[in-house]
Amino acid sequence: MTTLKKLNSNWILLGMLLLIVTNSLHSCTDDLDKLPLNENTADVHFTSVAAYKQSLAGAYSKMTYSTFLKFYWSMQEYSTDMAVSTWNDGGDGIYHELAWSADSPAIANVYTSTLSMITLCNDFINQSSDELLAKRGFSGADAAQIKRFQAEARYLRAYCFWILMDCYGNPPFPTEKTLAISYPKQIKRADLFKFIESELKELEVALAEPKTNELGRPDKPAAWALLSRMYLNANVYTGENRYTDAITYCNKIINSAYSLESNYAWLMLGDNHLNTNEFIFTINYDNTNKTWYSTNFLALGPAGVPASVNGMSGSWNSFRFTQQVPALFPSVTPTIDKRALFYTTGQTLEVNKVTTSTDGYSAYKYRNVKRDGTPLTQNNTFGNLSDIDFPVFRLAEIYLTYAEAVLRGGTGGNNATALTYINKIRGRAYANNPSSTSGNISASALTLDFILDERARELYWETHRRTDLIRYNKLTTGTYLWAWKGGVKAGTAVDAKYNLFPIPTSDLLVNPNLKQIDGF
Amino acid sequence: MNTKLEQKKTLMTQKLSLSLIIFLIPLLFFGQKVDVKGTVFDEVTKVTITGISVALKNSTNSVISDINGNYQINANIGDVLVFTYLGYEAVEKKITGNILNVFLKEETKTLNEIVVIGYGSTKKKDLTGSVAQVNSKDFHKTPVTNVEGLIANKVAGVQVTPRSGKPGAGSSIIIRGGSSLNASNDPLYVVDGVTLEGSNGGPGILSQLNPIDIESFTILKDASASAIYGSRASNGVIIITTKKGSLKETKVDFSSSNRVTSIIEKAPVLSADQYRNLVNTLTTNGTPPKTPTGTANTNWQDEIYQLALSSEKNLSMGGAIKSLPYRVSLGYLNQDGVLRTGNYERFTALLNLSPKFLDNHLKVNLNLKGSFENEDIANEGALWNARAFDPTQPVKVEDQTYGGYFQYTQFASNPALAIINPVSMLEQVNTRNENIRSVGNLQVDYSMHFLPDLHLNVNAGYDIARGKYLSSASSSYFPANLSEGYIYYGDPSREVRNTLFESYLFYSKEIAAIKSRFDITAGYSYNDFLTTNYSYPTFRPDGVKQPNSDPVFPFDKPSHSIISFYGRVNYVFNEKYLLTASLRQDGSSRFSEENRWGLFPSAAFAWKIKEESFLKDSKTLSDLKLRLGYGVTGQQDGIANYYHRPSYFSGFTDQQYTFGNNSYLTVNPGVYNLNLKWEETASSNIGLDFGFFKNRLTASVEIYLKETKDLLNITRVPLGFNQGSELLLNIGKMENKGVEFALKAIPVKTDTMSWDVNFNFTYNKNKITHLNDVSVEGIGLFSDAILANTVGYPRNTFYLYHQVYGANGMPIEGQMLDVNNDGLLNASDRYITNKSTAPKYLMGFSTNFQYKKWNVSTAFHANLDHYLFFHPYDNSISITEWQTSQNLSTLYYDTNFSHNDPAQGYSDFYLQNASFLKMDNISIGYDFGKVLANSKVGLNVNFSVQNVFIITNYQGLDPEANFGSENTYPVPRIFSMGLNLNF
Repeated sequence: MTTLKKLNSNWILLGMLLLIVTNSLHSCTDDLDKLPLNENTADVHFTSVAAYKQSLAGAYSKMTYSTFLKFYWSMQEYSTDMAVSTWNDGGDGIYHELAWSADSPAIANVYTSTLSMITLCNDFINQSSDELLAKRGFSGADAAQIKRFQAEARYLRAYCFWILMDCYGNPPFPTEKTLAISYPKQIKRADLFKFIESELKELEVALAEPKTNELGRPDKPAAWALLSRMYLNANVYTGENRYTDAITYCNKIINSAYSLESNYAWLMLGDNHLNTNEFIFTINYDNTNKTWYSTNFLALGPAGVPASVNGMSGSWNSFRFTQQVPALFPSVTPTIDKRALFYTTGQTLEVNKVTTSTDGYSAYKYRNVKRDGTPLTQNNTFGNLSDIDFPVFRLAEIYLTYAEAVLRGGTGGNNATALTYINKIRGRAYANNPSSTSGNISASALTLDFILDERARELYWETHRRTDLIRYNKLTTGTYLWAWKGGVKAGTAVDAKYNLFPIPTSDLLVNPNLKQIDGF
Repeated sequence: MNTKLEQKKTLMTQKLSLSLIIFLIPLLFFGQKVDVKGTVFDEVTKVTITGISVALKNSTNSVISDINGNYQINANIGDVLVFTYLGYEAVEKKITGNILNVFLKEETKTLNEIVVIGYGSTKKKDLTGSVAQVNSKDFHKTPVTNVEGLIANKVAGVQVTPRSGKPGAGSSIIIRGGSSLNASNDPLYVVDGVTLEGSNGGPGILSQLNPIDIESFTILKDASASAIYGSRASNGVIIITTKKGSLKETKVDFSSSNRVTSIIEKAPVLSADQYRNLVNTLTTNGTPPKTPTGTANTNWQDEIYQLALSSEKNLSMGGAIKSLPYRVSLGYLNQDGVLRTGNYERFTALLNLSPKFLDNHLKVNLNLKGSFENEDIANEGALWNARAFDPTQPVKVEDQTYGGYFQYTQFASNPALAIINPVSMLEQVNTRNENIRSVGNLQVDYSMHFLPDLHLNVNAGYDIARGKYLSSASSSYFPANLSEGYIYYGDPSREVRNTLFESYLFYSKEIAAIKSRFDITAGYSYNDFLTTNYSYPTFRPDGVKQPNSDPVFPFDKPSHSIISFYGRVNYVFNEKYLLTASLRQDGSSRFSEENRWGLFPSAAFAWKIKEESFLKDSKTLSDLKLRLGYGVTGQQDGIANYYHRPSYFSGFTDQQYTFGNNSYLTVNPGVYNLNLKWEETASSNIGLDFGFFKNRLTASVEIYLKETKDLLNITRVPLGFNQGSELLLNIGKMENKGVEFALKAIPVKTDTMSWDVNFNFTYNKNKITHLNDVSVEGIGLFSDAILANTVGYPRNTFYLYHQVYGANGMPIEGQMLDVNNDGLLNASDRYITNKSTAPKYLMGFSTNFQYKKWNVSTAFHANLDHYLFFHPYDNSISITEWQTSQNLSTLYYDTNFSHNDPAQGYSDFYLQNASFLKMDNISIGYDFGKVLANSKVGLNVNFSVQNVFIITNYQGLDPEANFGSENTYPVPRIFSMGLNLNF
């Protein structure tokens, strides 16, 4: 009995001790090094060219999956004569009032989305460094291809910095060197200009030859186009005229076998990826993917436009023009100028009330249909997504930039060439044929004011208007008034500080390196 | 390199435990004397008692009574035998012959209560730390769904707040103000030795426990008590023990209760007539409504709420089969929500076996708990929509396109722009969550035959769960119409496999010669947490898969583990001076190798002043004890498992990007923090326990200081710094200072009448003492919203503009004080209000009065100096400017606001003192005693009301709702009727 008991107890003790020892040995060595199942460390992820391409796509995709395009469009158009907002969506009503403050939630959207794209690009730039490529065993054509991706990430970053410079003046300046290491410092507008300029000049070498890259990936002309736009506005950013440089880079593009598409109405359609003659760089949309806040907003947003026209499910009645815009056209129907794609049914010309969706004409420039008019099939559960690619740069803008830079005194171009370029745009507008003379203007009619109006007619609702009006000093001053400018029905001048958006309070309060811009 | 270090650490610990055993062996010696035999009985029941320790005084010789209560020991005539057993008063008897039978008396005095502590138990009189235990007899007498409700507001320094009124949701518990910023402030829950983590699929953390099974709650409030749990103990530890079977008697208990639940108050919004009148006025003023009014009179809140019924049945049986004590319990609860279509159903089963073998040397404790929870989840978005929906619109219309519900069909192409009929949200969407869970453990305690004072305790436990999630809406549901409805069927949606293995050695010894007794615990613990989350595609009701709804990964397996070594020493000198010291080392997989291990020490000292000669004879004062404690604890809850590693994540299949003719699945970096460290809280505690009049009146006062460093906080970081705008960082330091006072009195105690009173008071002052990164203005985090965290102020302090008021005393819309007179209104004009969402004063009061067979009890609690931001719709732009015109709060009649001014959202006009007094419950019971002659069947019935009333100046619905959010599920009033049969 006693022996049994002792035996029992010894076994129990031994068993318990064994259990303890095996358990502790097993757990100590392995269990504190846990690895995730569905996510990878950098070295595990970046093992192929394809993987790099997925991450490049990741950075570019933020243009379509963040609120970027919708709010960039809103900032550039609602703040001008081009649009009034029905729904005050995300607080976007303040744009047209030219009355924002640093607390206004609407001003933070573009700031946030561009900085987040810059951050993704910075990470990509680090991950595609020469050292890491060597370490990960890439060489030859593979390494060259990844370096090309790196240049394209730098291009996206430069484009985002340009938006920040244009909209916010002195934004934070995060680079691949500060990523996850230190809080970004603030950069002065003129210094940022220099940075973007030097980046683009390097990329001019590193990017693909004109028209040799896949759609949606930038090539050399994409860098030239951004340079030309920046040089045209250089006086606003730096106080220095750079019109000659603008012409230089316009010429590089114009000499690269681009031409205007023959039909203006084709520009913003669901199959506008076909517009390779004219488009220089695009943000790509495909309705298989859940791209809210995108060109679907530009097709669904114009007030009144029915499903039969926009190829989608009807109108969200989000925005209309002020009456000043139709007045720039010979008529409100496309009979003379085919760009006058105004939607007038049920709409009144005058904006008596900003938030009344029937006040003001809208337009059916963006339509999710093919050139033959058939709607694109919706490959999603929402029935409301878009295939319309957004052209960030297209040749018509380059022609207009060339002409304006010449008129503003730039060298390297001449008035006669400028006039031919403008008349190509007008030929297409009047006769669906850039060679047609039916829309021609005379040399004497080609003035700076004409160009501003022509830009409105050609480029309306393509995110140019605010920048253009600032360059002409018309955004905040009393020299040009439109309905409800400054929150007054007849329009009124506002403080010049509204040429810029302030740094959002949310970022100002967490980044000790930032100082608010003047006036806010 | 570090693995070696870890191995070294393990080896060290193993060596330590080994040397402990070797060191203790020489303490054994035996003597040869005469045989004394006897039997030990319970004084009242006259039943023999097994497992009594019979020790020869001033020697190490001891035996244990056998299954029949018999013992045998070698001793000399004239020696003294000491009989001790947990729960009984110790008895000393002088040996006068060969036979010595003894009757033991069950302990009744509170001071000899056994208190469960981390890895063991102790007597209340030996406690050095701040430990509060609430036993079943002190629980609230009202039927509650969740176990937290049993002790709500019963304990000083413990704030129990309903998470929401959703059935089964339970309450959150914050101990001593919580030591974290906006990381989790939940305490660590240990149920019968199994540490729990996360809600594991049920509606609440502890929802799978049936309150009827709970024997006691032990709350380890200060770090000297909780540091033995190391890195998870910063917010205190709550140890929950379930009931066990008794060797003495078989008890069967049946209880049933039925409840009626109703909302206490509806949000004050405009009635249909008021709304129409307002619309007329607005139209006259040239601002017509965005959507035209209808002719109906709908009170949307009446349409979404209901009088909800619930019923509960419990059956339990406890006793012993021969020498095997057991307890089984079954429970069933079916509870409707006050928000229509919500329902919670719970089935619980529990089995406990606690046998002892080998003359009680081997104690086994097996706990198995199972639960099955079914939730029909009512769409809580309807709460918001019911307040906002135009009251002049009908619930139903003739047109059946959208299921016959009124909807703003002009937004059919983009329903996201329209407000959705709240009744359709409840009735046309089905969301169901089913969760089966089991928690169990086997604990074996072996007292060495060669050295009975040395115990080896091994505890192996598990927590497993499997969930199923279903959600569907028909194509006639307005928001789902474009996608032709949906069905999501997730089976399983989630699986949890958490495992626990712990072992410790416990040695206790009394050395009378130097008036000392001590015990040592040294142990090891291993916890592994593994969850599998499954993802599925979504289908249309006709069975066609929604395009692009296939998940990138069909499942993910987040996992983390914690490995710990711990030790504790208790030392008592002369029964007056008590010393406790503990040390725990934790390793967590959630941190990088450099920051992986944390050390958490504690020490405490207690002086039983009452035992000193100058007080020993005091008749009035029955107890006086001073306690001093210090300890360090950690916090790692709420940290993502792999946050310290930079990782790359695949995007969704329906969010690809197109280059050329191909779409690419994106892969982007996530946020990470290489330098993430433990959050550590050092806390000090001074406590004084009093007892008067034979402890009819007991009280304790405690002062504490908790200093947290390396505060973990999801913090806004500058854009461009890392991916995302928020990052989990160790951001700074915070302190909580407080005073607690608890009083328990039994003013009346006679054979027919008794009355007891329980009162507690807590003052807690929270202050942020350091932040690593602050802006020029010194305003800390989250300050773009109305709450700021700033050095020198409590966490979540309101950061607002000074509202400017007009001559009529009402606020002028958008007019805020330009404090620095720079002509601009911006953040520098806002001010730190020094008013926070955390209450400074908490009070709880409960009382129980018994007269013959009647029993009346009630409980109150109050929070003082507690602020909330009450900002309902008070602006007519919701009628004139929004896509669909929406209803307003009656606050509009005060403000008459009509513009869109962002500054108004930061106005101190909306800041309200939300101090309140709440009557938690009142209950009346009657005990019929034995209902049948010649039987043991007892019956008592009980009627109660919970959440009886609130007295407050706060204008919102519930001052206890989360940050004053008006969209949380309202906590309802509950009327219950219960009966209990036992035999």
